[in-house]
Amino acid sequence: MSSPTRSHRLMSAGLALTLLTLAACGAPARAIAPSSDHAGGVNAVDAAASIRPISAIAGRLLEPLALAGLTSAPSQIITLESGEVRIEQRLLDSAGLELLSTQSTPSGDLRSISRSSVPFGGAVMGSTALISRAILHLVSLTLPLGAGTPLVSAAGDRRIVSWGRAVNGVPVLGDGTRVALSVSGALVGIAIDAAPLAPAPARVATAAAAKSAALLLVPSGAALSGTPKLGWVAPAIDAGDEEDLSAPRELAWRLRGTLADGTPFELHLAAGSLALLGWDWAR
Amino acid sequence: MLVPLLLAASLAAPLAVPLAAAPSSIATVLANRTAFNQPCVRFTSTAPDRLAAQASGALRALGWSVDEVVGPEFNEGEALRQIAPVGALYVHSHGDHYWDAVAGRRSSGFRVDGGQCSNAPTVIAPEISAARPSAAPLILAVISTCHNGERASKLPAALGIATKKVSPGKHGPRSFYLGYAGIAWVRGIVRFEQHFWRALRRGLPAGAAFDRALLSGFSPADLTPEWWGNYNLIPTPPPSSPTPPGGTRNV
Repeated sequence: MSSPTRSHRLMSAGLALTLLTLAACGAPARAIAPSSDHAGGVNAVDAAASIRPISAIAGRLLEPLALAGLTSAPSQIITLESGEVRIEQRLLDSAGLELLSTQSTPSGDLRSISRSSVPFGGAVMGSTALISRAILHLVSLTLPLGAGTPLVSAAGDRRIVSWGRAVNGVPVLGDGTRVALSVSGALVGIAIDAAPLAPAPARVATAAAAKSAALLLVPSGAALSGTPKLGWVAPAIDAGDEEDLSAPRELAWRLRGTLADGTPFELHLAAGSLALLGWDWAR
Repeated sequence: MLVPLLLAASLAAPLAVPLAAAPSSIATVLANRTAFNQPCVRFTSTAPDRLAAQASGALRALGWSVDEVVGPEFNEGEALRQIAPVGALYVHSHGDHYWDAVAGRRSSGFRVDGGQCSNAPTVIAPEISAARPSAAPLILAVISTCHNGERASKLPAALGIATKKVSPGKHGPRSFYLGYAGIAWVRGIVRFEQHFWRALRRGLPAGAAFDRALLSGFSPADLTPEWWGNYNLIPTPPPSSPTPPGGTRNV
């Protein structure tokens, strides 16, 4: 799967923002000002950027939302921690509670859907049925299907069907398509993420070299385990444990091990230079 | 002369009788920095400060009065002193089911910072219960450690929160507990909590904020979030009316 570069993405965001500005200048002021448009209303921001109206998305859900009594909050341009610009739409109930929100790229690609107050209970689906259901939700919303075999996990009485993103067979950590479901398959949310990638190094160091470099970095008493694996990772702030999500993902060797007290950790070394990019560890 | 004065004074000074404990509008944020940083390890860890700042910022935005203790001052005595009166709690540290020497069995809790690299003192559920003998259940507890999202964890009960889930749209207690089952990796924690707090700041109920955070891109192999309490809770502090109607009751 290919990925747009950061500059490419910024260019398209800039183009869309220019369009938004032009639309704002050419439309009545109330068309882009915060308003209390009823569900189904499409404002200039959405129209200019070819954003699918949230009311249309609400109607395409496999469990469609009844729009009576709902209001759409004014669309907002938001910037994620990654620096990525998105246009957000929200549907609120009469108490002002957000029942549905969507995020789209300025060029109109739907990237996130989140529903609130999806009931628990119902017939508990097995993994295969959950995967089928997740695919149905994606198809219903005309969203791209994830590649490869999905993983089904459980958290807090919800189920998450996730397809990882890989570039030339190397996983991009944190990226991919995730579909959150109730145990009976009702849609809770969808997220599709694809961070920009830094250029791959001209030459990738061997796994053995990565292991030798890692041994020089780990604290005394720590031990490495398993085989180093390649991955696209977010470099960390100060080469520590906090991801810098605004930076392009870098190709890295990932090495796992345990500290002297048994705590598991993972080191990330730049695949070419073997410089420390960051690390992760358990609490 | 002295006796009438003392008598008058004793009559004038009201003896306040504890009534049903009122929830507190104070929140505390505790984070272990030392064990995750140099010289204890060879790495830099900015995550504890980031996590504490996220929690404090969101709690303040929700209206809580927040005390934040990050680093060596987060010791056993300070932790219990902080937790005793609060209505909302955030802890980031090591967590596990530690040995309770008094009871002769395992109990759940977390390690404090205390300026120690390893084997820092623990705060376990019975100590918290003892520090909060008549306190109201916490409104919001986020225990950002390993293992304290497991059903076996005794921390929810110590904080007055039953390990049950109140479904969307149903009535239930004003409490919400968030923890992680099994081993919790810090990058996953940061991603999850960033989304959780952001959703709360937008006015979403705690359960819906949890749902949003499930889409934050953490690896399910590295993090298993769990919650207990009321899905529908918007975790704002209680109204600031500690005095019961009619004023303090005197005897």
